[in-house]
Amino acid sequence: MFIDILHALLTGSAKSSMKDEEIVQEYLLTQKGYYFDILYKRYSGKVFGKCISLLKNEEAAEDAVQEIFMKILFNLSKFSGKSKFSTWIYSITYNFCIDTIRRRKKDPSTLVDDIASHDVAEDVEDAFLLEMNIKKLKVVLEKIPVADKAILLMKYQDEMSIRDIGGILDKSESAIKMKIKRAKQKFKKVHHEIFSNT
Amino acid sequence: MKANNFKALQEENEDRFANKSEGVKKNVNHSIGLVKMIGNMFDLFIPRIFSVFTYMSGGSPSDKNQDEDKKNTTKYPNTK
Repeated sequence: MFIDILHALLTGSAKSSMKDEEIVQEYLLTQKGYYFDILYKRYSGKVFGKCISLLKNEEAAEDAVQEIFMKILFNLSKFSGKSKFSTWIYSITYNFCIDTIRRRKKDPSTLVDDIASHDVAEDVEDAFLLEMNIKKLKVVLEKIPVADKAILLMKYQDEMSIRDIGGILDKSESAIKMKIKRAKQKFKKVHHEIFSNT
Repeated sequence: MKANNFKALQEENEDRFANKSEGVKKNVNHSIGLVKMIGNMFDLFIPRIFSVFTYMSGGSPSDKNQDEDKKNTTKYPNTK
């Protein structure tokens, strides 16, 4: 135990510069807790950020972080390395939050496939979303359906590829492109409804 | 560099977690420890439970391994 701690202290800086995938390999080989600690330190804040954005409740988000990290730990051996480790973690996070909301059934619009329900009129520029004042951004994200919010976070916050988003949501790339387009339109519409008079 | 306020929002949310991080980590470690302990208990006792059931249903627990151990163990272990 003491030797483990000493080893961790002496090599801590070297380990903190290791790639995620290397840390996962080391953890799987040695089962030493400090490898998991490094991953926790790197990702817990980001996971919490997504949970609180989607679940809209701080306590629920804390519980979700706990459960998500347990899932990550128990499924670490299943990480194949096909995608980035961050993408893998975020996919667990999004799917967990989406399942939680589905169970709550508070928001029936959550994950309804609403491709046919909106008129595709115009493309919304990325800059409109990216450069929006952060307070306004928060307000609008609170008002749009969770499914749209999740897809916008994947695209603009996590900068995931269309392919990765498709993998997480189990949809084709063209369906994802369409969903992003519609989510942006809804975002713009909600923004207009809230802020057009101010 | 292009502005991205989605990232700024993420950083803001991360900051909110800073003072909760250790508590959540403790809970994670505690839960993992508990699961591991239950797993170890199963590993330890499940084979014995099967033996007990076998014994109760009238069979005799397999003593094949015990016989082999006896064969391999000489009376004086350090002699050939």
